Amino acid sequence: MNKARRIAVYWSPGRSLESALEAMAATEPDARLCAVVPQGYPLNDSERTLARDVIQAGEAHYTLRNPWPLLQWIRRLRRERFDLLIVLFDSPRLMAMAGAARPCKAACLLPNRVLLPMPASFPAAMALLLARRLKGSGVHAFLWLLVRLSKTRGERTSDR
Amino acid sequence: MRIAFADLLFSWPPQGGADADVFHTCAGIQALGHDVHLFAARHVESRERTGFEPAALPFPATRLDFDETAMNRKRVPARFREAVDAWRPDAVFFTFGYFLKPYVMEALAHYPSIARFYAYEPFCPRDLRRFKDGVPCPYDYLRTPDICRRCALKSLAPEIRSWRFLAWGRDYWAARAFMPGYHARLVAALRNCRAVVVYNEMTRRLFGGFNENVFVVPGGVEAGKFTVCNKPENRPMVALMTGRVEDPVKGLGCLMRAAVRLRRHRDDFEVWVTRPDWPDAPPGFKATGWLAPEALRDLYGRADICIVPSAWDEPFGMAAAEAMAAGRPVCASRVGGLQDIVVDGETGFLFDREDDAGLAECMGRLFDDAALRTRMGAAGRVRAESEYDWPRIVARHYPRILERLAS
Repeated sequence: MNKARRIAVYWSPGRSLESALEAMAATEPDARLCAVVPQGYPLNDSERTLARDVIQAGEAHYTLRNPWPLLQWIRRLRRERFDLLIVLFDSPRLMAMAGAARPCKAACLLPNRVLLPMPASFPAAMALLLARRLKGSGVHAFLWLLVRLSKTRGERTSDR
Repeated sequence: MRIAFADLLFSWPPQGGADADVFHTCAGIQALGHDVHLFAARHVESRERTGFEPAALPFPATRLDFDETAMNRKRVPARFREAVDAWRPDAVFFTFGYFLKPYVMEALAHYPSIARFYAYEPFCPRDLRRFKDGVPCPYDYLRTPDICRRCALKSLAPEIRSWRFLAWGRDYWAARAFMPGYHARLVAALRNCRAVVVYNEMTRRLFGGFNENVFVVPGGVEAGKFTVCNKPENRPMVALMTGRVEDPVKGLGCLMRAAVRLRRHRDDFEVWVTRPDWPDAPPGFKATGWLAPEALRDLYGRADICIVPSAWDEPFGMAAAEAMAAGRPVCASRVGGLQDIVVDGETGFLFDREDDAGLAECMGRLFDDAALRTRMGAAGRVRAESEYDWPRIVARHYPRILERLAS
C-alpha cells in the first residue's frame, strides 16, 4: 500500500493558514497535511480538521550570536522528511529555510493557489538568491544611471 | 451600447476598493441595459492578487492569464486587443492597472474610451499615493516626470536589487516606466480618452491640462447588506478602525496617540483594529484579525464609533462609508475623499491630518453623549443609503458619462 504523501504547510504572518490548508487539501486529497505554526498559534476547528499533524515552531528565538535554536529547528524539520514543504512567501529567509529543511520538494503557495517551485536544497537556494542579487544589482546600477542621465521630453511646467 | 471593461488587476472576491468598484460598475451598467464584458488579466505568479473565476461573476467576463514571461508591454496589450476586438464593443472602459495600463489603452485606442483611476496612478510612480515622508508630495509625474522617475527608482531599489518583485515593482519593470518615453505614452493615452473618472475633486483638478472631461464618481457600499443594530449597553465603549491598518499611511499611530491622551481622563473604552495579530498591542487595544465581509459588517454593529485617521489623501475612504452604512458615527481626518463622505458635525467629526489632540476631543465628545452617537449614526445611515449605495451611484453618474462616450 502506498504511504500518503506528507505535505507541510509553513505558516507566516499575513496569510491565512486555513485557506492554504484548504488549497493543499483540494490539490492533494490523499496527502497527510502537517501545519507548521508558531508556539501558541490558535488553530481553529477547520485548521485542526485539515491538518492531521501540527508542529509548533521554535525558530523565532535565535540571534546571530546564538543560532543554536535555529539549527535545532532545522534539524527537527529535516527529521520529518516531508515530501513537499509549502511556504506562503518566497522571501529569501523562507527560501533558505525551505532549502535547509531538505524536503523532497519545496514550493511557495501563491494567493491564487498556484504553486511556485523553490529549491529543495540549501546550496541551490543560496545559489538562486545570489544569482538574483547579482542580476538585480546590475540592473539597478544601469537604471540609476539612466534616470540621472536622460531627460523626459514634452510636458513639463515646473520640473525642478 | 456594448462596453468592454479592460482591467489588469481584477480579483474577486475583492482585494480592495478598486475591485469592488469594477464589479459594481460592471453590474450597474449592465442593469442600465447595456451589454458589458469584463476582460481582466491575471498574472499567474502574482504574489498579491488572487484573480477570479469568470463563472462566479454576474456579468460576462474573460480572464486573460499571463505567466511571468508574458506579462510584458508587448504581449499584454496584444492579448487585450485580440480579445476585445473579437467581442466588437462600441466603447472600452479602462479600469484598474498600474504601469501597463497606458500600453493597453494605446492598443485599444481605436475605440471611444473612458479611463477610471482609483488612487494617484498617473501621478505617482513611487507607489500611487503621492505621499512621502509623512506628508503629501508636492510633485506629480505628469508635470515633474524626472523628479518622480528618480523618486520611483529610489523607492523600488530594494525590489530591483533583490530581483524579487511585488505587483507594482514588476509592472514598473515590465512597462519600462523608468524610460523617458513612458511619460509621452501616458499623456497620449490620457488625452485619447473621451472621459476620465476619478474619486474626488482634488484628483479631478490634478488632471487639468491632460483631459478636460474628468468626472467625479465616488465609490460605494452595499448599503442593503448593512443592518443598523443597537449595541448592547455594556461597558467599555468601542472605537473601531477598519481597513489595512498596518499600513502607516492609514494613521493608526495618530489613533494610538489620541487614545493615550484620552486615557488620561477616562478608561471606559477600547480600540479595536482589523489587523491579523498584534502581540505588542498597547493596553486597551485589540486586534480583531482580518475579517470576511459578513464578519466585518457584524463588527461595525458591535462598535460605538468608527475612526478613519488616514494621513494620506485617501481617494475615497471605504471604511467611512461602511461605518455610516452600519449606522455608526465616524471620526475621520480632513483629507481627500473623506471630507466629502463625512459631513462634519452631522454624520461624524472631521479633524486635521495627524492631529491626535483633535481626534481625542472628537472621540471624547462621542463617548460622552449617547444621543449624539445615535443621531449622527442615523444621519450617516441616511447619507450612505442616498449617496453611496452602489446601484444609486451607477444610476446617478454613469448615464451622462456614457452619453459623453457616445457623442
